Amino acid sequence: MLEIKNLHAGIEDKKILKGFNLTVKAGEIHAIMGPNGSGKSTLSRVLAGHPAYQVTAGEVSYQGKDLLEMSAETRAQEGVFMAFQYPTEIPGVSNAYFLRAAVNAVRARRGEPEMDAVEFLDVLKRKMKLVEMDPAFASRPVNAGFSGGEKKRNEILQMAVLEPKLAILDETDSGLDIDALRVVAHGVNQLRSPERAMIVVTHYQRLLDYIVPDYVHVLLDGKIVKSGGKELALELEAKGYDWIRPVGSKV
Amino acid sequence: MTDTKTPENETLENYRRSFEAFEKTELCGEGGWLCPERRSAFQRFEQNGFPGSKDEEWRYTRLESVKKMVPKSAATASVDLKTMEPYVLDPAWPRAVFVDGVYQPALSAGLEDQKGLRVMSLAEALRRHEPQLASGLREARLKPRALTDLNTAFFTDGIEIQLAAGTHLEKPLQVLSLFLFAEGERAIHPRNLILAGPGSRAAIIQSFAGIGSNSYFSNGLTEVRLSEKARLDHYVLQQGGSQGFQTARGEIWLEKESRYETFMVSADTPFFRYEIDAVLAGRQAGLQLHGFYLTAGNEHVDQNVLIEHRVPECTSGQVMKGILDGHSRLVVRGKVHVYPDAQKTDAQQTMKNLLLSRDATADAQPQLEIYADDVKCTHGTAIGQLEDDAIFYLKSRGIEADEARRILTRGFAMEVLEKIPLEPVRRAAEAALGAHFREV
Repeated sequence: MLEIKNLHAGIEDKKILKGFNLTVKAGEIHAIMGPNGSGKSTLSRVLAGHPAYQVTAGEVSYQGKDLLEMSAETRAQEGVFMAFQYPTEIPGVSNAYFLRAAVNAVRARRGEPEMDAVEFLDVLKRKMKLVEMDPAFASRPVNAGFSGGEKKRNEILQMAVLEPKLAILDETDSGLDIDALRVVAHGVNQLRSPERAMIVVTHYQRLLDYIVPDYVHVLLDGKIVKSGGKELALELEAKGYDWIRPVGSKV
Repeated sequence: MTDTKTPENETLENYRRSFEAFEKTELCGEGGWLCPERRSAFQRFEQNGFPGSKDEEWRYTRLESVKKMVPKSAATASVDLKTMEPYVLDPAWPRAVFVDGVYQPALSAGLEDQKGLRVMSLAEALRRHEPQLASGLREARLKPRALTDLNTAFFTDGIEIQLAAGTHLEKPLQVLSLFLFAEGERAIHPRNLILAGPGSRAAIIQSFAGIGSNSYFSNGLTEVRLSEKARLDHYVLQQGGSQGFQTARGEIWLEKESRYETFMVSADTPFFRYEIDAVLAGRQAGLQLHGFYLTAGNEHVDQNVLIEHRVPECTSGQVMKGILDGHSRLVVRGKVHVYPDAQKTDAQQTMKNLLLSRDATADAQPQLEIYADDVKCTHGTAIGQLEDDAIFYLKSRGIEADEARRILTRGFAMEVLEKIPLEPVRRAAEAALGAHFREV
């Protein structure tokens, strides 16, 4: 589904990803772990098409198409979804209005008819139940005044509604207490399916107790330096990232 | 004084001729009881002329085009029900309708249904020598202003609304002004009086719509007096189609524990200057202003607010938001004046403008003048474009760039509009917004 080869990318003049490789198949969950500054968030944003990041080398193929050629909105319409680490607040725009616009944009791409407000509200209510969200949030402005946990839950709600083929969760665990983490992870697990791939980007192993990955990759200084199964996460938790650093590299 | 004919002199001469003709008519005030008042107002106007660039409050707004207009007064016009219908916010609400500044009993409805509510056209009030009129005029004389003087000299019609003590108006009252001016360029000076008795409650909507294609100058003045514990929601709504120059002024007087909440919605107006001059004169009086302005093309909108906190424990809040497109200009001035006695004042001001075009200009000027020491006064302004992060967030959900901008702009507006408690008004405001975005 996704094949990343020798990806080099950065922001302004700063090189962050320096030869990143990863292959993800449908149904798989890959965890990308790494310390601060290793390039985790850059990877998420580059895949989502954030305009501030420049790709200087490498290729990314998504369902056989060149992902890097697509605009952010086209990627989303084609089934790529990123759950933001810091979701943006949009005062004055209700969650329901925003999500219906998103769903209809995706449907337009597929040549499907628009969903009307009544029809959509039904879908939304079902999905809100799935992520254990109070239906009142449908009419609240997107993320405005939400707590950290509510914002992250709202990201998972969007994912549930948009039903992406490839979901990238960018540090979804950051800023969450254990209860909020459990609810968010439960929502994500409900969305696991053989047709859907997920990339879970995280600093801590904690999240992976709840969202159990098929593969764990360690990202250091813009490259994957070690890959393994879910037990690799536990090893990282016990030993930290230092033991894995190549000799001579700076902390 | 020289004899050279400057454009300024020519304007004043036109006005003089116009006033002299007007003085001879019955409209001036039957039996001439108002004539001395009108004459002295006109003399003040003649002396001072139109406000110019030297006047700080008129720094960004010019009346040059208005000066060029010959101040003919409007003939009696009428429109049919069908033309009016789109502007009626709710047919079940009582309404008073004006065409070119003249009261239209045939188009008005429901004004006699409510006990404690007395509505009369100002023309009628003039005929009856209503004493409230005279007291309002005395007030206006205390602080001479060119446009107020012009209004006092020339007004012939408008509305007088009185709420008896304890009256709770069941339904909102719409005062609809339609501008047709089928006979060509005209000047009108509507005068309105709203008197809310002790403990009364009401919602009044003043709305304006252009239904013709000729230019005009409408120079309105509305006096609002809130007695103790009265509560008024006052809407000023532009319903589109305006072709002329509109200036309007609201003079608000608040007694003890009264509350005045005003919603100002302006869209699709080529030239609009709206002044609010409010005096918090009784303890624990409160005022809240919500302003929303949408400007495009070469439109010029100027909102000028003065709030005087004269006594302790009063609150005032102003939230003004503008969306500017094209070559338009929006001027927002809000001055809060806290008198030495006005301890425990709570005054807040927020001004936010969103620029959709590089050629649009926003001037936001909050001003605090505080002479008391135990007060809570804050103000904030922001002028900017849509945030890239927000646009990206929407795009990352599949929403196309143009649609993302449209949604965010609408959201910016909705922050103010969603506070409008009356649904038909909110719908009309949203429609004005929607119409604009279809055009863009």
